Amino acid sequence: MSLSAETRPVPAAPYRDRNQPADPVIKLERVRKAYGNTVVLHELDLDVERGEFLTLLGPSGCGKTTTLKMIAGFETPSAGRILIDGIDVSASPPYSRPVNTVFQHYALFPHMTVFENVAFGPRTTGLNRDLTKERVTHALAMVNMSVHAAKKPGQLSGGQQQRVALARALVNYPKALLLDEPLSALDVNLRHTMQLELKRIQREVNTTFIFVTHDQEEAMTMSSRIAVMNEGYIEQLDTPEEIYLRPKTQFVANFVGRANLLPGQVKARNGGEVMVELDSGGFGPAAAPDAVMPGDRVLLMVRPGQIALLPADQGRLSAHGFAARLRTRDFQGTVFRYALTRSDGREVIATLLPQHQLAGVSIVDEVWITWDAPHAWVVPAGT
Amino acid sequence: MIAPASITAPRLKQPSRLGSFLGHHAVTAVALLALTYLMAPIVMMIVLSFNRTEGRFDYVWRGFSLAAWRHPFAVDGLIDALKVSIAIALVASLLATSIGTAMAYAMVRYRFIGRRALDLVLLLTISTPEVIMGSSLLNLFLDVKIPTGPLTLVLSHVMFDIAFVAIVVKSRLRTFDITLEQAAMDLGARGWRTFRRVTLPIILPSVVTAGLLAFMLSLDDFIITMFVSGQTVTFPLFVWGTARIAMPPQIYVVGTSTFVLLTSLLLGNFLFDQRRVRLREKV
Amino acid sequence: MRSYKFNRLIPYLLVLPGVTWLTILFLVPLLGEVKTSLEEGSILWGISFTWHWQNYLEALTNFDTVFLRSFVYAALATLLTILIGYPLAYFIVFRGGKWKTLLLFPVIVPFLITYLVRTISIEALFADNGPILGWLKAWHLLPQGSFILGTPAAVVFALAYNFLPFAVLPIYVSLDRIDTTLLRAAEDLFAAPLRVFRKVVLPLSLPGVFAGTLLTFIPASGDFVNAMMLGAPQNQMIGNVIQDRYLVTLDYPLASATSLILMICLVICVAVYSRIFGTEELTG
Repeated sequence: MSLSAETRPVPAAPYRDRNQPADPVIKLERVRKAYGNTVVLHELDLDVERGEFLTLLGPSGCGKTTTLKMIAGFETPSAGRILIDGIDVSASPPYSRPVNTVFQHYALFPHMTVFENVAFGPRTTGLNRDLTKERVTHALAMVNMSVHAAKKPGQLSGGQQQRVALARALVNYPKALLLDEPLSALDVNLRHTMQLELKRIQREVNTTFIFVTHDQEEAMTMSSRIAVMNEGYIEQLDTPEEIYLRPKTQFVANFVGRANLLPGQVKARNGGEVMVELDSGGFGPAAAPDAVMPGDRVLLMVRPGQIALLPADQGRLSAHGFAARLRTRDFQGTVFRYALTRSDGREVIATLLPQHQLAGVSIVDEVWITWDAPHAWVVPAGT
Repeated sequence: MIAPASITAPRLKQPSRLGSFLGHHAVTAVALLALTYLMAPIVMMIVLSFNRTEGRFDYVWRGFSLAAWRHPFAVDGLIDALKVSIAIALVASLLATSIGTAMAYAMVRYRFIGRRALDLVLLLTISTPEVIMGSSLLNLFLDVKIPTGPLTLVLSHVMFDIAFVAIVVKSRLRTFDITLEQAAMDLGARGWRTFRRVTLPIILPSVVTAGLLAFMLSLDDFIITMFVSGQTVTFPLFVWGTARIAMPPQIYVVGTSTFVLLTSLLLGNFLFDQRRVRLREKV
Repeated sequence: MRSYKFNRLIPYLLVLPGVTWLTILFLVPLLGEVKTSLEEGSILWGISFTWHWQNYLEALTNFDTVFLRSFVYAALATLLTILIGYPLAYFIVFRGGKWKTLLLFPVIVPFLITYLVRTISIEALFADNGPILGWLKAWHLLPQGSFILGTPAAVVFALAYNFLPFAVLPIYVSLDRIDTTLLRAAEDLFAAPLRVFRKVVLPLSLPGVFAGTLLTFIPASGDFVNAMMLGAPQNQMIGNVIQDRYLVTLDYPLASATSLILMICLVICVAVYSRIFGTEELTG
């Protein structure tokens, strides 16, 4: 899993606007959306930085697509404002907003050629012929579709259509590009390729990308920041690294990567670390956010890849952690996956590289689970 | 895009209040006008059935009267003409539905020589002017010395009904999930059994619709009927006959009644379908 | 298990009754017409097949104005149905919402009335002292001697009315098929509603318009009922001529020739029209 090296927003916008505000390019202020009695978005505040690759990540129904549609103009907020470059566009129709969308199923115009599809935006805004031709050619070249300019969408494969859809949006130099799960219709290998392609293109054109997906791996690969959403709220808005290593809520911890969450209570705090006594017995240290104090109920989070296994007797004497019984052990291609059962019946998953396997251990045997303090984290209970 | 600094933002259209108001409501206005246009003759017909007529051709409103409604069949030959029309339409639609459904099934499920040609012929039967079909049919019957009458009527009506039935059933079959048939065959059902137990029950509404369509087309047919009916008098022929001599309001009564009946049938069919969809969604 | 051979035959068996019926009662009669059109003579003096091409010549010279008039009326009626039918179909598809299928009812329902009764009602509507003219005359908006019946306008109007569903339904189907995401995509690309219509909706609905115009024009050009009931002798269409020659004067050879000329003209029209529009699928 590669982490984005860019955590700072990249400056530069393509327009000559002299008074380029340093403000967020898109700002959602206390945006709320309800359909009748059903509230889809609760009081959302979001600042999209210029030039970033922001992903809205969450399960179906969390509101991520609704948020995207509201930025594009296909939905209007029930309350709150949407600002693009400081201008309130909440009541503006989609055709008046300087943002463009890449739709989930591409929505290429079937009766127009690839060239005409991409030229649609420039022609609609009255750009002269020569300039249009120049820009369209450039856009097609950027997505490697120049050869197919005269074809119709029906003659293209899924991946090709997606690239045309991308060119069609980017040719207009939008202030932000909105992508609605554009890779979900592609097969796995093509997806991976396109993920990297999109990242490359985003850096090349220096445009803000707002990406919607439910696939957390995808989000981690491509984004400079991720907004993890759940049931109409943004649970955490951070870089992929922060979200994975230091989730703020139980939902985020569970949604991004597999997590072992062990309920317990904080016994002591020492600088950035706390000591947690686990409900099911045993104790162990973990890194913690500043707000967590001794006495707080927490969930100790250890990722499967951060667990080390020791023989039960040895562990009991020499390390923090707790005992568990081995239930299954499977080979997953690169790692061994251990499923272990704690004394209270809950399950712990550990993934170990072949060289770290515990010898001489079989099903139902007891082993000792331990970890390094910096690689564990606590999440406040009840989140 | 690594854009040169000279790129300016695109000119975006701001919605104009008046423009969008006009545009939005212009379509509605035209649609409403069109609906009025559609309903005008119907309203006319209903109104005239309540007219107190004097004399032979009376289009002027002389006052409200239920006379025509009280004695709807007072005109000589009206009932007989209706009976003849209904009988012929029944026979023709039953025949046409069976033949047309079989054809539709073959054309959608199988590939065979001449399928495209058949498609073309079906298209031709729908779009050829009835005058040409009627006159050529009469020609045929004269040549082969078949006396014109109920027989020739049925023969002719089935002919033009087949194409309509085939089209309706074909389009339904196209959206039919073929895996259902495959499942049945996998479980041992042979061709006819599969069709009878699996396909037919599911496409039945469309087949019924096609049958109703054929029935109405046959009932209503005038031009072809005129050529091949001989001495037989169907309802449209009856109307035409009396219209030249005198226009009894009973015609409007029958018109209104059939209209009300068929509309209720259609509405009922539609509501029944909606109910079925809703029930299925519950499951 | 059925033999493989039998399975191969199934489609042919299924199609057989239909094909037979259509061949005997559609194709054969048309051929018969060709034969009759080349015959000479009359009922009284006997008819014989003599490759009498003069029939065609006679038909063309006698009825040239009628032919022209029929096509003009049919074209005008088709234009009228499209002008009325397209906005109607558009309204139903894009403003109909839940009521979409229900809104098709008013379009179909007038045609549940017998063709003749419908046409007679139109005649009543346009009567000299009927609801429309009567009112206009009473308010002195029209001179007392005005009339619509017996004019081309009446015939064209009635033709347009009677063939409306043939135009509306194909347009409705092609409009309904348009993926609404395409419209959103166009909006996203800065197109205001009018431009969305012009550049996306209209082009994608053209197959339906094409089908609609053909399904209206062809039957309309051969129609005679409307001309008969609402027109004057100078509004007679070619259908009237054919009907008259067949059923009244019994001049079969001439009538057949006229029929076939109509048929050939229509085939040419369709061929040319298809060329301009490209081949479209008209049957389901």
